[in-house]
Amino acid sequence: MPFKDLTLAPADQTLLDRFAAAVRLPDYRPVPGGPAAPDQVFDNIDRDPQIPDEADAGRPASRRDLLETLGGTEDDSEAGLIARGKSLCYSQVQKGTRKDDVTVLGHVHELDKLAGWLHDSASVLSLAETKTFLRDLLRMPGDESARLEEQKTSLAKNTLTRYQLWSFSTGDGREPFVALEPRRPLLLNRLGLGHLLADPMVELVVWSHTLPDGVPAHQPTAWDAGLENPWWRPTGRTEPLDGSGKESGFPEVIHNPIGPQDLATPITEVEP
Amino acid sequence: MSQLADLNFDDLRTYVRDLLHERGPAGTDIDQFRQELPYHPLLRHYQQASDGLRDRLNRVGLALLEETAAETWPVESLHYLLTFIEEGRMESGIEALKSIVSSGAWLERPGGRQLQMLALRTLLGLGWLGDPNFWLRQGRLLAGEYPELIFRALVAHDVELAFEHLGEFAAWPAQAAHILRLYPSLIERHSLETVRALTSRAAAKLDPEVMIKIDAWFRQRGYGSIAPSVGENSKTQAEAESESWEPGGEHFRAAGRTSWDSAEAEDTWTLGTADPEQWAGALRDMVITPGAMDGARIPTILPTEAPF
Repeated sequence: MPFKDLTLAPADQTLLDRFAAAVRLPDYRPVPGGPAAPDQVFDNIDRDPQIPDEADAGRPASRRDLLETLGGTEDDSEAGLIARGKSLCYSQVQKGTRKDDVTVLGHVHELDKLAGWLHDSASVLSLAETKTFLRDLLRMPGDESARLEEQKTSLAKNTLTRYQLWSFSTGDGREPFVALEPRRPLLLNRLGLGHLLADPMVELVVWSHTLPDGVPAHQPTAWDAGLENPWWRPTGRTEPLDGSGKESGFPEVIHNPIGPQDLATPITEVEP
Repeated sequence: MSQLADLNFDDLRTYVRDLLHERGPAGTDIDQFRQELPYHPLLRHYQQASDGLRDRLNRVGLALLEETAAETWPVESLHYLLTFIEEGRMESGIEALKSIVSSGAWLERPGGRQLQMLALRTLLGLGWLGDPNFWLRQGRLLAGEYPELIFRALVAHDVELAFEHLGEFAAWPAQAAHILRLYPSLIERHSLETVRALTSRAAAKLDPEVMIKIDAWFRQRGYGSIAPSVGENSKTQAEAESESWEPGGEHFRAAGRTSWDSAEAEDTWTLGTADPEQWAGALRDMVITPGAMDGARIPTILPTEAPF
């Protein structure tokens, strides 16, 4: 049930309209050259079948919860609305349907973000040196299993990321980057990674992994997607950027961070 | 962006402080979907800012740094602040950091060595080098923790000087693993040949297990062994290697011998090859498994054929 099915007081309707305007992205076009869809983020919240209209125990926060969060303070500035909307999103991660049938998952990551996370408060290397160290690990010659072992040993860190990970599966048990060739245009398109289109200089890496015990996978909700990601759709699959539809996407999940020991294939640089 | 530009100094300082502590509305500016860390949005603002906003962000960074001298910040927030200062090339932070380091303001706190290391790391990142003795003294203040930091600082002064101290900074394999994290950058800056030659020259002073670890690092990357090789064209490298790969006392002690002379006198060290790969394997056996000296696995070395 979308927002229109909620009984809203006039003040709530005004608040909702202002929120919709605040998260509007005028330039977003689902298909390059196609018509604009500036309200995609709001539409995702509005249409996500995993998000209930009213509070429902055991389910993600409801649309009514969003309204209550937005109206919770005297700060009615646009920045305040967005900050409260984001707070709700961050408080509602991994509340979607659990997916227990995933095996090997694939993941795409920005090299700089991985280096940034490895460059932590215990590291004496500079950020640039950390990135060079990482590149060395990624480019080690020899067979894949030796490289994987070296990465597991050398990335002496509990987790590879700070926040929850977005991953995809093939749905048929195939290794993710056998099913999807890890070339940049293919990855961006099939996985719907539109946020990476703007800067072709952003270096990417991929890896596949399994989930350790105690780390379940969930189908993402609009709360997981947040307020700045119009490329996502509430279908349980990635949304290809070329408009070919969810059937050419892959099943997607989110889960807590994993560690180097959970890698199934070595972290590998993506060809441009 | 325009909103940040509109903030007065105090509000901007509050915003940055909250962002670095990941709290309040400022904390929601960290894009978790893109795995941002707290300094990422700040650096983005900084790099795109007008001169005026950039200047104010500079002053905010400095003000927060001074604040941390008096008030304890969580180590992660401090790390984010220092990374912002370093990556933003805010050289105005150098004096404040020098003062923090020399006063021991952070060192005396719980977890003080890590905090001191962060201050030193940032100083180094901002291009402040001090003098080599300063870093050696800091190494002692850090009680041997973070030896790779001191090594990194000495490299910035003089790469040959740094390698003269390699044995102190890579005293055991775990320390060597930390030092090796610097090697890709060292190679990028000083060339593979230089780094290999300097490592090889330092080898005589290294613990045998450390040597094996470092040698494995080179070999895994297809950089060859830093064990001795025959027929090298480079005189300098050959000289360096001949100095470095003469087995040291530790090799023989680990293998149950007291010295090269005693081993030679007992006529048990014969390796009928000049192949560096076989030499490395033999030394590894001796060092890792002294028991290998017994029975059929005794590596015997013929000095006349040794490639030293």
